[in-house]
Amino acid sequence: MGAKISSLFSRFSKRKNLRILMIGLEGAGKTTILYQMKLHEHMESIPTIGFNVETFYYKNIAITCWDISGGERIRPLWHHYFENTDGVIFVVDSNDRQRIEEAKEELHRASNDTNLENVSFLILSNKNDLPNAMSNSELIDKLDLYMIRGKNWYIQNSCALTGEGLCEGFNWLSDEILSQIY
Amino acid sequence: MDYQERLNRILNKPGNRACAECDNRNPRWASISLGVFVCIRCCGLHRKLGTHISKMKSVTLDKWTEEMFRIFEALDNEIANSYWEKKKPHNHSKPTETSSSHSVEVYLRDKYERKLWIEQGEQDIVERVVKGAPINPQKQIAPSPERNPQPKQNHTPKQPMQAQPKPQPSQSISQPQPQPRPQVNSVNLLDGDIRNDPKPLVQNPHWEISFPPPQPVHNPTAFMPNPPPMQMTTNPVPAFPQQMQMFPQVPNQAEIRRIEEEEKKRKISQVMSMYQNTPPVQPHNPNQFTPLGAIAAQKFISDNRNLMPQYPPHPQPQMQPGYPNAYWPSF
Repeated sequence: MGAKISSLFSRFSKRKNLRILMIGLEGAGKTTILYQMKLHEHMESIPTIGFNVETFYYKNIAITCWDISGGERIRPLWHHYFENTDGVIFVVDSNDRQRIEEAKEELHRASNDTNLENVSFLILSNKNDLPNAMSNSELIDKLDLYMIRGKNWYIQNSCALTGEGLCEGFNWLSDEILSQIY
Repeated sequence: MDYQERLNRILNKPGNRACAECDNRNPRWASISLGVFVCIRCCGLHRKLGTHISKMKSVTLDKWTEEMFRIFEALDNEIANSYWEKKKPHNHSKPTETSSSHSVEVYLRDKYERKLWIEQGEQDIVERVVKGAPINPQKQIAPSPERNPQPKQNHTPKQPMQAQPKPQPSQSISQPQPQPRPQVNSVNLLDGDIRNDPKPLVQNPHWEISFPPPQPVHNPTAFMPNPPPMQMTTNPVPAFPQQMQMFPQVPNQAEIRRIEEEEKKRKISQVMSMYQNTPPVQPHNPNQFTPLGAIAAQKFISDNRNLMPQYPPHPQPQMQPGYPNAYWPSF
């Protein structure tokens, strides 16, 4: 009884901190998404070398978002950030049909990592405002999302320039993580 | 030749010293679909265009493939720009390191998205390299690679004036895209049309009502043999007072004599009134203002002063500090 009450109390009083990792190929729009969530406006970004970290509050949850550079030579270093990660956002440029195979490889490599067991994956199909963008069903097909085993995933359209679809994506991810923790 | 050596050779080409867009030194990002090396800021803006226009690769963060080596061993920024900016007007200034990213973005969209300045019908320069076709500007590169095509395109906007009928139609047919620009320039502000045109350049519909044509202070109708009819119907500016004419009509001799006599009589009566108690009877002059009531009241008071009750002098009002004297009524 006492333990139950204290757990209930801690559930309301504890400040929730989530550590979220944002990965994806270079130029997919990760940095733009990060600053769109942080500042709610579009910022001119330059290619990330290394990583960007920002903490922002979403629905009274402090989300520490790590935006890792997607350069070809940085990708082998991604797994150093996988430990203690609550959720992963994989950003795909839905307009880039040529590198979708490359994105698929990176996504499956990350999802098969042992440090990311039971971690939810949010796939943001970014740049969805462009006319040649791929639809969600096409992306599910090309990214082989049904091959991801043992974890929840969700695909969400987004446009980082306007912030469209980002809140829906973060909503799903935070709900998913909190439902697993508590 | 190993990987790094090949890369260094490409980066050390004299054409690749500066960013293709903003002249920033040491560009380290390559657009493999456009064949240019750019700095990190321009790379961010290239990415913003979308991967269907520009595919960016880093020299340091990406592994270069054989195809990329092949493209950039054949090209450098000068050759690529001589293709992308072939038709660029000479007065169109390029963005610099310090110019705002918005202006650079506009420039990039003009250059790569709308392709305003390329020679129409020419094969894409990167495609030419990939397919092994010859790159024309490479022959020109020895003397001065970028200045050679420029004098030609300097004349393109002036061509209608120089009356060169032959090259003009062929060019205009072959490139419909850059056509709007010369048209905008050739609105022909210098042509004689405007001077002969009766319409004013800026037409204000309320002009005739709200602003009458400027009138000089002196009424010009007094000098004009045929004064123009007044067109103003609403609120005409009042003309100069009519009674102040410049040249009043000269009265005739009899009139003068009559006026002089009247004046004489008036003076005599004034003098005679000094010896009489009765107030002078002033001839009624309609032009002169005579406050008859006030005169009568003053006369009544002065006549009956002894009958009037004697009041103590009115107390002087206390001056309030800070109150300006000028505004205080004097009693």
